[in-house]
Amino acid sequence: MQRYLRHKRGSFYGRSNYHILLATQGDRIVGGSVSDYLAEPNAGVIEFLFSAPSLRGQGIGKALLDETERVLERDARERRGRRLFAIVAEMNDPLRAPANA
Amino acid sequence: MSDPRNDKVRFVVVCAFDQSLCGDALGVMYPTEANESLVGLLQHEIAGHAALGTKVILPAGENRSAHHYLHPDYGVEGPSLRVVPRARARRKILSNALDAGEQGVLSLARAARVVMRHKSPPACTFEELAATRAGLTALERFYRTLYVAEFPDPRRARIAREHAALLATQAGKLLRPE
Repeated sequence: MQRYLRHKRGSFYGRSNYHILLATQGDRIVGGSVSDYLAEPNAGVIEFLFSAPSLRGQGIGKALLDETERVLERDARERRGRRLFAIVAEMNDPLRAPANA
Repeated sequence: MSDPRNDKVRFVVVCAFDQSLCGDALGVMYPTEANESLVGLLQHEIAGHAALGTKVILPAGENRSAHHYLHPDYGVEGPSLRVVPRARARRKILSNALDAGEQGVLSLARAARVVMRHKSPPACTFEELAATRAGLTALERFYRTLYVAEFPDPRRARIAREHAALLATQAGKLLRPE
């Protein structure tokens, strides 16, 4: 992730983009997402998004998803001059039970 | 996906398989065709489903369109077929479900958890990280406190195994002095 952030500082991504978003409450980090905007298909990819296990069920994930959508939508408008076509999200393995089940 | 009816972004659920083996050994299907990109396949599949918000299950089986994967360079083609032996059992389960259609796939999904709807959103602030000293420090803190709990660091797992093996050897010598 550090490497990708450094790439972002240069011209590596071109019209595409890369985002690491942290959700915080005070000094505490309570969630995070990593997402990409891909200029060619005008689409976003959410690589992962999660909130702190002890705080799940409070809406932090939804708020983080809303914010992630917002930055991807902003990329589409700024870099392609149009609305975002789609967001592709990687999801957990549906065959695996949740860790806290 | 842009929805002209209400001008909002919606999610379309797409089932695909990647080669990262991230989390489990489920990612067993790889491209057999050159010049086939995941993004192109997804666009094609999504475009073929006019009703927004519906589930789109990419077809699977032994035909050409069954093989999708996510390359780190976002859909640029990479190495060809590589089957991971330990994943074959999972692949069989998945193939059977896919043969049974969408209901078969959904039967594998765990039940959605019911979550209380909160009247007010949580008081969060959001920070987008950049490659600054403060940004990299925050990233390190995020990685240590949250990320590795969700996605265990494979290097640390290997080091832990090696450390445990070393300790076991030393303990054995203590119990059975030469």
